[in-house]
Amino acid sequence: MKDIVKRICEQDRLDKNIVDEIINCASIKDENRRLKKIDSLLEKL
Amino acid sequence: MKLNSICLENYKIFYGKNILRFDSGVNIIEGKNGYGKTTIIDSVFFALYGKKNGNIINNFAKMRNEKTCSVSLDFEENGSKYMVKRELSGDDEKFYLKINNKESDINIENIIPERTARLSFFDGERISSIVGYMNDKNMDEMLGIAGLKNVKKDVESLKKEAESSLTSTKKIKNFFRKMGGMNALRKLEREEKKIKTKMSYEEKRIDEIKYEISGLKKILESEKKINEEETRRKKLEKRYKELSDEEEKFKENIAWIILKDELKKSVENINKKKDEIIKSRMKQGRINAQQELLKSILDTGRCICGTPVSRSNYGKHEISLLLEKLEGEEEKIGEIKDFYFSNDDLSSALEKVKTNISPLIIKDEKETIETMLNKKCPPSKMDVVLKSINEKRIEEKARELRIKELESELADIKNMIEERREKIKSNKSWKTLKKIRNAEKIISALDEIIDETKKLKKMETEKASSSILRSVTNKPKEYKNIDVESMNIKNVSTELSDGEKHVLALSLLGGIKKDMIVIDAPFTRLDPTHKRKLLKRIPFLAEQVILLSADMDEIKNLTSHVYHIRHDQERRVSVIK
Repeated sequence: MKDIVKRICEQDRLDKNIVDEIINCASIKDENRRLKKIDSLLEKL
Repeated sequence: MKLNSICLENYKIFYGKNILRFDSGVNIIEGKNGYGKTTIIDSVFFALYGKKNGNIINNFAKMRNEKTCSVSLDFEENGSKYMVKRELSGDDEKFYLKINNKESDINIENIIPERTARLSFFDGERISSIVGYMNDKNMDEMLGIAGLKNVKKDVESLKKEAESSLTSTKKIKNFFRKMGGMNALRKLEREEKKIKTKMSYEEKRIDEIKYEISGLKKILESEKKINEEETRRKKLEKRYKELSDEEEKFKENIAWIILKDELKKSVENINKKKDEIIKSRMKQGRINAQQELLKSILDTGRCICGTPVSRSNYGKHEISLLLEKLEGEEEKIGEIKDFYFSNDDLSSALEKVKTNISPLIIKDEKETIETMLNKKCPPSKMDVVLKSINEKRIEEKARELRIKELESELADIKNMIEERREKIKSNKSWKTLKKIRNAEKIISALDEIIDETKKLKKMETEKASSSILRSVTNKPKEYKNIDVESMNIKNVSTELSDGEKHVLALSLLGGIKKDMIVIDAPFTRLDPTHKRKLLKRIPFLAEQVILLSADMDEIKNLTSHVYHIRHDQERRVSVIK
């Protein structure tokens, strides 16, 4: 998956660290917390 | 999910406090039919989701006026520790949740959705039901992409929310018009890029010049050597000339020494001849005078005193004889006159002597110098090289200055860009617009990631499941590969028997990487061969395997970690030992 993320980030000029963080949000079980985190990451991107 | 312990208190058939602790690897709970094995699985779903069928408080406890029942679970999920307790007292139900020892009010459904939990708990009687079909959500859970799909769903909802909060595109357009449009920013950014390219070119050129200078310095070193060689050669040539002069002098000195005696004799001869010449010249004078006198006597026939010749002692005949004699004397004098010791003879004599003189020390040194001078030596280009180095250094300095100029230009442009960006960033509508764009990019990225991950996981699962199936099935040639999408065996047209479905289901579960799997009556419907082969595979189904079985004989060799459920017929209660 790391290779896929790297390729997509290079292709779409996205910050890989932030995209990684967004993907890691998959492990956040609390929906509200997850939404909040993703929201802040989208603003940071 | 990894289950650490279950504590049942007055739950259904279990009276009092019954604690089960589980380890990694295989754990077994043994109990006869009706003793409460399935109740243990039910208790998990009661604790987590409040699932209950009918009366769940133990009857014996009720009789003893104990009207409360509870189930506590201690488990781990994604590195966090969870403690769940559900308590029922009459109609009053209480739920407690601790995450990493801290109380939490998060909905447990958000931590482990029920459908996810169900994928870890199987009833041997119904395990084959997973064969042939699995709904999309469960498939996503199984392939580990459910979490990513949740993230995608969240991003989509955030995008929607942002879109609805966006006031109007007109406002944004006005804002950008005031800012001079996005094109102005783009223009500045292009300019920044151009300067950077120029700078990188100049830097590259400086590197090249430095490299060239280092090359020239190396050449300079060798040219210095050539130059030194040239100076040495000049010294040698000078020395050679000095030696030649010395040799010449030496030879001449020696020659003169050798010729000294000869010269003495020659000088004596010369002096002798000189005297003779003087005498002969005097004699010549006299002869000439005599001849003139005799001729005038013959012509006039008289002597100077006036006496006729015929009267003197000498007649004409005697005078003629005297004249002939005088002519003979004259010839002899001429021979003496011709004699002389010429300088040319002396020079040639000297040269002859000199050629035979060879001063060895001088000769040796001259020969050595000649050998050295005969060796070819290229002309030194040191001046040219030094000139090139200086030119390169001047160019390097000029380019460094150019870089400094470019740096200052770049700094100005960067400031302008930064100012504009700051203004844009601080605009609320722009922020929202940017968020929407980012969300779109992330959604498209997540689509691709989900798709690729699904393919990868599917392939991994199919490979692992197929390997298990081939090792346990009675028809390895026929049942080769599993298709996870259809949850079935590939290229098999005939319908599978219940036992075969059971084997296929366990193979599928074994292929899916799981933390935990709980199977009630794992070998129902299986023939002894299948049982024997599957037993070997049981420890590899998941990191933690919990088996509930009525027949201890079939699984007793798997582990020593065994709980036994004992039943009290009189009180109709079960306890765990």
